[in-house]
Amino acid sequence: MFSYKKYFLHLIYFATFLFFITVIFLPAVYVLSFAFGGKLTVSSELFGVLKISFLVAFIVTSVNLFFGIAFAWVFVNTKSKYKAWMDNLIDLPLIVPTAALGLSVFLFWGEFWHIGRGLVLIILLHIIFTIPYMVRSVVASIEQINKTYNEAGTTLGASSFSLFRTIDLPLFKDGVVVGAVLTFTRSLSETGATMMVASAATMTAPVFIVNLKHSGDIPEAAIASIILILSALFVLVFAKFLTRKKHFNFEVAYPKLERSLSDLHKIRNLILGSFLAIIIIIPTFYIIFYNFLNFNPVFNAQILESFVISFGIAFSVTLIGLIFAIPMAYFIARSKNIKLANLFESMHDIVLLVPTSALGFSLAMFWGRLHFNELLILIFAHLSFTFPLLVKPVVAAIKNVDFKIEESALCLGANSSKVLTSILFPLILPAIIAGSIMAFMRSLSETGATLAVSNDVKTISVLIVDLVEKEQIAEAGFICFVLFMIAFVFLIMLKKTKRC
Amino acid sequence: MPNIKLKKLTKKFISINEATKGEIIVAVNDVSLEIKKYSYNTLLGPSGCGKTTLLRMISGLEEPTSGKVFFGRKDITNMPTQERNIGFVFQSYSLFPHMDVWHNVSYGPMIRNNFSQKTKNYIHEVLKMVRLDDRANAYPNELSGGMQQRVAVARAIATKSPLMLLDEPLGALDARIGTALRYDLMKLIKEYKLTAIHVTHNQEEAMTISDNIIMMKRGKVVQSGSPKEIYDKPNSIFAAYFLGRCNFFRCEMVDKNHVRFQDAVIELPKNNSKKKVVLGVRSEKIHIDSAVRKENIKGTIEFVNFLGDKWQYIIRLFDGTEVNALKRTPSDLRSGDKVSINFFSDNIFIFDEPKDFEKEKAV
Repeated sequence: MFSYKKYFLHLIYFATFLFFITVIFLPAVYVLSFAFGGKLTVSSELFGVLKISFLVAFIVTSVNLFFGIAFAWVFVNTKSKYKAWMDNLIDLPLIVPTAALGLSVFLFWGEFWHIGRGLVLIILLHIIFTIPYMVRSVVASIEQINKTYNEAGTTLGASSFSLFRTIDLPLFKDGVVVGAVLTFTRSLSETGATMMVASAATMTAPVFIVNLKHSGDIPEAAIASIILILSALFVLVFAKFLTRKKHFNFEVAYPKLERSLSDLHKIRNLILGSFLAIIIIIPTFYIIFYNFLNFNPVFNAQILESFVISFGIAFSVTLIGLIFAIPMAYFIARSKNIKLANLFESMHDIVLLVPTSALGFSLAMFWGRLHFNELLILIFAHLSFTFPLLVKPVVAAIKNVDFKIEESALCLGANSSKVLTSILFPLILPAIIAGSIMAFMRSLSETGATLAVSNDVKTISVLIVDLVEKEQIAEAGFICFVLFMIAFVFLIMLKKTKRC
Repeated sequence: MPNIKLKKLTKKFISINEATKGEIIVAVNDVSLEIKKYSYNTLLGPSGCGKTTLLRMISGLEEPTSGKVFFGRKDITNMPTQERNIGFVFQSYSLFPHMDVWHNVSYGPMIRNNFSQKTKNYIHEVLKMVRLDDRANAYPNELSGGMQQRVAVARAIATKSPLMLLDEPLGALDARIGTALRYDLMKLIKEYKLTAIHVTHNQEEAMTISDNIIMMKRGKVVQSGSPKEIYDKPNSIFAAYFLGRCNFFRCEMVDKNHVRFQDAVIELPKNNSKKKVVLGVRSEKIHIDSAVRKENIKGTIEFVNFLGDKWQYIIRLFDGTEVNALKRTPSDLRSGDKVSINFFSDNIFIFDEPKDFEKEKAV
């Protein structure tokens, strides 16, 4: 039987691949082609900012390794009724618009502790928005560990610290590596929030790229972007190497020391609690407090316009993304061509890892050559960094659905499109909604890539940067406050969809 | 190793099941027991009867809601599991996936920093006992289910603790391997002079390995004793039903030592003062007679099943009661044949008529 349906399916896949390659992947890595053209020299200025970027990323990763693992461990192993709230709080920095977060942190440390823009503030800020990645990935991998391994260890005489060292740590090591990679690359690439706390003397490479792009120094920006992208890729490869080791045999234990460490849980909780409050939560929320003190509700035409632009972009990007993300996710999760599926999956990872300002620069170069409308380029740029966010959770959800469920529906007489709509789609709907919310929020709050692309069109986060540069802090604060509230509503929606 | 005493041990859970959310479930209900040293004990009962919870409370993995656990005279109710010096074999084995066989088995001594040459020799000896000395460098995912089970047992024995707690240790194996490993387990426990408490829902397993069976139902101990004691003198319909095969006849008393079932008058082995009783007769004690007499219990053969070493007859009595009879020798009986059955009064168990007969049997 000549199958129309098969033809149709191939057509959908072809369109999806074409879309992914031309709109998402190629523009993102386009800047690498500059490496073959011009001469590559690193100016002393660029060398300086790179040094700062790597230093910050390194310190932040070290701090996160310690506190992130400790948090995740305590979080999984406590049965507090406040756990759900803790869970929400730790996620908040993930979806608060970065510019708003940066401003909040700047205001908190500046007003109370008189820490001005510079290295310390950059580090403090980066810890806040990277620690959720660390905690999330470690918690996810701790929760996968069979609980009876710990029970077995307990019956064999291990104290809780011994259990942690000899059983859990080796088993959730991969989660730690993933968390560290995310922390390092996010710190290396973050732009919007960092702009709020960087000074002219101390800035990171992504901020430098945006400045270069705006002052028209294209070759230097290209070099900086290439270096950032390559180092992100290097970190990814290094991580793959680290996750290869699966076997850990232990020969020694220090029962006395480890038992006394196990008994220190009260002090540990105190340290973790204060860290969470002073370093993470209060600086993040300070913007709300600030607005109560300096209430300045202004809604001029420009702010309204920016809101409309931002929401418009976020909405269209999510919608366009969804059309292609679902077939793409289905292909990655279900294709019999595993090599191709893996290739596409790692291409998504690469796009996610490319530092946003480098990505923005790359996109601006790519689409700018074709002389597109600026708004259109913005939409393309946002598609590029939101698309993987849409695809990833849907892939995970489809992989989670046992293929036998689909097969049994087929045996009961459903045709393949009916299986898709009546079986698979309802099961993966929460993931689709969660992915959409993440993509929408990311588009709404993204600063780095947007700044690198935009000249005249101002999204809301670009407007915040502008206002802060013009020292109109109160106005910027109010916009941040509004964004913050929107983020909060979305967070609650996200949690609700995860539950069902 | 002292004896183990449980005093009024109770465990209540709050249900997290969607249907019964928030309800309090009594998993173990006021259990008092004494476990003799060097004996092999099984906790036998249907799933959900609380046997695993009871075992976990002895190990300290579960905290009792009330009641106490004693090792000898010492109250260990609040002692952490790490300090109880026990060996525990989990149903899923819980072998550490990132360690090889040697390091799994030596984990107990290692973590207590008791890793002398003597201990190492001992671990070698234990591995030899479970026939895994040549697989010491293998990782758990490279071993078969039976091998994994033996590693789990070796790991528990290597702790040198005198008490072995086994939570359905043979449950995950296929029947043939499980049966073979029963004897290994029994031998090991006796060889190392250990006290064992073994949780199972498999009555045949319990019969073969135990010195002492503790039978549980709905969080309570129904009966405990040697396999022969429980088989020959079950104290309840449930005990008779769950261990071995038993048929039940609900009768009315005629006089103090005679009952009536259908038209048959049956003589009891001892006097009874109740008005209604339930008689229990083991399947192998039922005699089938092809001659149908008025004064016997009558029915029709529904199935004749050949089990290899014996024949099983399922007989439907005229009042609907199902009777299950086992015969060692072949006969001419076919399904559909009308037969009568009888049994000796020595082979009768007498139980009081319960409020709800089906519920009494229900697991």
